[in-house]
Amino acid sequence: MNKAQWDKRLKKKLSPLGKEEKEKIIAYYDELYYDKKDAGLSEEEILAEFGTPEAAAEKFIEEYGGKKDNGNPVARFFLAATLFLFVGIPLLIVLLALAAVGLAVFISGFAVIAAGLADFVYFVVQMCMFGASGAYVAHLGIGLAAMGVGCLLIPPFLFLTKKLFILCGKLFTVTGRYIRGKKEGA
Amino acid sequence: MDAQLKKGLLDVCVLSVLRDGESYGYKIITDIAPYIEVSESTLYPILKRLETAGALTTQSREYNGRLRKYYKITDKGMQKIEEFIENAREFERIYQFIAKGGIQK
Repeated sequence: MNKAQWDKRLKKKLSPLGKEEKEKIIAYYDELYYDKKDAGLSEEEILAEFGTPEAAAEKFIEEYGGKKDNGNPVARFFLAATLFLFVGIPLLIVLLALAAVGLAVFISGFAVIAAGLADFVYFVVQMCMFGASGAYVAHLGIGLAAMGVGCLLIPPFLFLTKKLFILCGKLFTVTGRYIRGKKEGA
Repeated sequence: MDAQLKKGLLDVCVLSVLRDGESYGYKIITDIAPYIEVSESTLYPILKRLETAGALTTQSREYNGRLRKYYKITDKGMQKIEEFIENAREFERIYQFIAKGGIQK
């Protein structure tokens, strides 16, 4: 390790102290380093005397950093509130939406099972009434009916999807305008 | 030695070095080292504490093309040394009492 590396490690460990205090400590060590150098010590010897930067930093922080600076409680509250508003709430919405989708899939599973059972019963009934070919024709009817319903559902779902995309676009525009407006205002 | 006691002693040691004239970090350490163990990282907080307490003043001056911080004792610092000596006398009496093993008949 050389002096520059030692400094770097010390600086990193001193980060809880203010910038001014940090610079003062670095200057203090610089002065000692060059005085020791003038006294005939080698870089290695000096750094060995200084000890590890971590141990040194610990002493400084213990001395006056002691209690970790928690900052102004009001400022911390606003930071928390802002984080909640811009990160927490959107995250919550996404999570809730995902939960709703999950629930819908879960319920639709039951619907599929119910449909399967109903179909089975229907098939048996048709078999008994019209024989195998009759049951097949009846099933063809079910398939055609399902297709018909599907075709009928295409326009409303297309419409809903389109609206959703437009809504998303608007949301981005509004957010963008809000941020830009804030910047211009500042 | 007890950490708290050592801390107090170091403060006075630094001040007493400065009584002989202003000094700088490296010299203070080498002057004190024969009497009491002191490291670079211990000295800095002491100097800072003494400066805040008004026991010494600092001045940065150029030396050999670089800056060196010189520490100078104030009247308040001198007073602190006096106080310590007074306390030490009292301490000495108590020490004698303890060392002799309590009340002598």
